[in-house]
Amino acid sequence: MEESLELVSAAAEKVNAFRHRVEQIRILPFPSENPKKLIELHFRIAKRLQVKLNEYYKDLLSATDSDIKHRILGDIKLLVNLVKRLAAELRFIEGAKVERTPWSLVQPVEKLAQKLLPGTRLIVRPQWHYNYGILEVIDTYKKATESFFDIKDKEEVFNGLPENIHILSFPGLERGNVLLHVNFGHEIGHPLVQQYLLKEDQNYLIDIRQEAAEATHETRPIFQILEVEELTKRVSEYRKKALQEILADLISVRLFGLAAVFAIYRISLFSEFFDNISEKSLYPPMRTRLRYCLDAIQWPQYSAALERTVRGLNDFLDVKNAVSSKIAQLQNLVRDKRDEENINKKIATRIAYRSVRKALPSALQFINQRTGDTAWHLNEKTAADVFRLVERLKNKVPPNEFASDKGGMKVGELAAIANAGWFYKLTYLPEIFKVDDPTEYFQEIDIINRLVLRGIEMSDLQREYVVFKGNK
Amino acid sequence: MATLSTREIKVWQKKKYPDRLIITPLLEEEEQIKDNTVDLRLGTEFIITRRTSFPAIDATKGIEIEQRIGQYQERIRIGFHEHFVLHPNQLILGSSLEYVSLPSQLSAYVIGRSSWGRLGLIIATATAVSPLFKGCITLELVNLGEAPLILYPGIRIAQLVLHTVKGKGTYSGRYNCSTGPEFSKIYKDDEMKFWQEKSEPNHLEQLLLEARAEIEELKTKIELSKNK
Repeated sequence: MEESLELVSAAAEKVNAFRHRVEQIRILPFPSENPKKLIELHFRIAKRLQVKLNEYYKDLLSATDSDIKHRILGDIKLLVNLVKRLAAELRFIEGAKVERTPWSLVQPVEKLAQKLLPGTRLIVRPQWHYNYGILEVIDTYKKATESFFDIKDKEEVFNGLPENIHILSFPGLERGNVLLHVNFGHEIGHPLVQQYLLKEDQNYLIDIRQEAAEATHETRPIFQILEVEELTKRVSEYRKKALQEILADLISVRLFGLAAVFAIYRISLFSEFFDNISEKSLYPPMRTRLRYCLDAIQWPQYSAALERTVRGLNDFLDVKNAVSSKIAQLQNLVRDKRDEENINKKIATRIAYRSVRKALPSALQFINQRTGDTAWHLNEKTAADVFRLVERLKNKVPPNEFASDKGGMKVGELAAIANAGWFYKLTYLPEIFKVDDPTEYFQEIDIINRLVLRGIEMSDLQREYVVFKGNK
Repeated sequence: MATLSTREIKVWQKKKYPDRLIITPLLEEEEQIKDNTVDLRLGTEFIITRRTSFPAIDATKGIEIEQRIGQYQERIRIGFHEHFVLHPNQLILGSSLEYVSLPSQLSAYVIGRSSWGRLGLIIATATAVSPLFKGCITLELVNLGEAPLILYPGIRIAQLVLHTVKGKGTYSGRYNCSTGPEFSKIYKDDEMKFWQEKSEPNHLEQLLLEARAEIEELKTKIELSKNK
C-alpha cells in the first residue's frame, strides 16, 4: 500500500507543478488573445485533473480488490503521462510571448487566416527547428483527455473556449525576417488543404492500384496482391504529402503573388531536399514546388501588368527590371529537371507524382473557389500600388500607405506591402552587399525588415480605425 | 526660421520626394493637424528602467554600457487597447506612434500637451528634431504628479511644431529609421574619451557603488513583499 500511496503523492506533485507552471505563464504578455485562451484551457484541465486524482486516491483507499487497485494505479499513470505531455506543450504558449515573436505580424496574419477559413485562431511562436509549421491543438486535447473526463467535465473544460487553435511555428533564427514570413501564407493554407483532402474523390486509388499492379514483377497471386497493396499504400503517402505541400504553396501564391514565390525560393536555398524527396518526412523536392509556383503565377500576365504600369511611372523601371530578372533566374532554375529524374527513378514516387498532376485541376478549382475573395493579383492597379510602396521604402518610410492618384492617402494591403518589401530588396539590396564590409548591407536588411513590419502593423491599425469610425 | 502654419504643413505633405514631409499614420488628420501643430500619439513600445545591480551609468564607458544596457533597461510592448501605469517619479522611454520623415528644409520641436502637463506628465526633454530625421520620435515620459497615470498606446500625447530652416539642413543623428524608442547612445559622443577619468576608478569606490545598488535592490524586494 505504501508504494501505491507514494505513486499517488508523486502524481499529485506533478499535477500541482503543472498547475503552477500554467499560472506563471498566464501572466506573460502576448500579442493576441489566443495564447491566453489556450493557457486558460490548460488551467481548466489542470484543475479537473487535480479533482480526478483526488477521486482516484479515495477509490484506492477504499478498494479491497487488488485487481481494482491495479487498475486505479494504471489510470493514475496514464493521467501523469497526460500531464507530462501537456507540460511539454506549454512551450508553444511560452514561446508566443511578445518579445519572441514578430508581434506586429501576428494579428494581420490571423485576420488573413480567418478570411481563408472563418473561425481560425493562431498562436505564432518560434521554434528551434529551422522550419515553418502549423499544428491544431484543441482537437488533440479533446481526444487526449477523453478517457478522464465525463460529459460534465468536458463542458466545464472546453465551453466558452475556441473550437480550434493552430500553433503557427517559424524558425526562431528568423524572428525579424518579415519578408521570409510571407511563408506563413503556406502554413495557413494547410488547414484548407486538409479540408480538400478529406473530401477528395477516392477514385484516384483505382488508378494507383492499377499502375501498381502493372509495375509489380511478382507472379504468385497472393504475393502479387500483397505487393500491390503495399505499393499503393506507399504511393498514397507520397501523394498525400506532395499534395499537402504543393497545394499549400499554391494557396500562398494566391494570397501573396510574387512575394510568396520569392519567400519559398529563399527557404529552399539551403534545403537538403532541393532535388530529392525526403525519405523521412516525404516532402516533395523544392525544385518541383518552385516549378508549380511559377506555373501558378502566370508570369506573362504579371510581366505585362508590370510593363504597362511602369510606362506611366518611369521612376520604377529599375524595380520592374530587377523583378523580371529574378523571375528569369527562377525559370531557368526549374528548367533543370534533376528533381523529376529523381522522382521517376522510384516506382512509388513516379506513380504518386503522376497522380498529383492528375489531381491538380480539381484541387486548384477547390482552392480558387475557397480563396476567391482573399486572392491577390498583380494587375496594373495593384502593381502601381506596389511601386508606390516601394517608393516609400526607398525614402526609408514604412509602406503602410501611399498618396493615391485621386488625392489623399490609400492604406496598403498586406500582400502589396509584402511585395513592395521583396521588390525593394531585389532592386536595391544586392548592390549594397560588400564581402569585406557587410555592415551597411546588414543595416539595410534590418531597416527594411523593421519598416515593412511597421508598415504591416500601421496599415492594420488604420483599417481597424476606419471600421471604428464607421461604426461610431 | 519660421513656424509652419496648418496650411503650410499640408503643402509640405504633398510635395514630391525628397522634399515631402511625412507623418504617418495620421488616424485623424483634420483633428491632429491644427493650430499650427501636429498632435502625436503614443506608440506601443517602451523602454523601462530596472532596479538592478548595475551600479551606475558612466557615459564615458561606451562598450560597458552597450554590453550591459539590457541589465539596466528593458524593451516592452503594450498592445493597442491595453494600458501602462506610469508611477510618480518614474521615467520611461516611449515613442510616437507616427513615423516622421523631415525634408532638409524643415526641422521640428516636440512639446507636451498642456492637458497632460496639468496631470503631471512631462514629455520629451530632447525636443529638437533635425532636418532629414526619419523615424519614430523617442519620448522621455516622466510622471511628476502624485498619482499614478494610466497611459494607453494610441492616445494623443505630444505635439510637433514644424519650422523651415535657412539653407539646407543636415542630420548626422544616431537614431535614424527607428520604429520604436531608442536606448541612449550618449556614449557614442567622441569627446567622451577626452572627459573620462585618466585612471581606472578606485576599486573600493566601485565595490561601494555595487553594494549600494544591491541594498537598493533588496529594499525594493522587501517593499514588494510587504505590498503582497
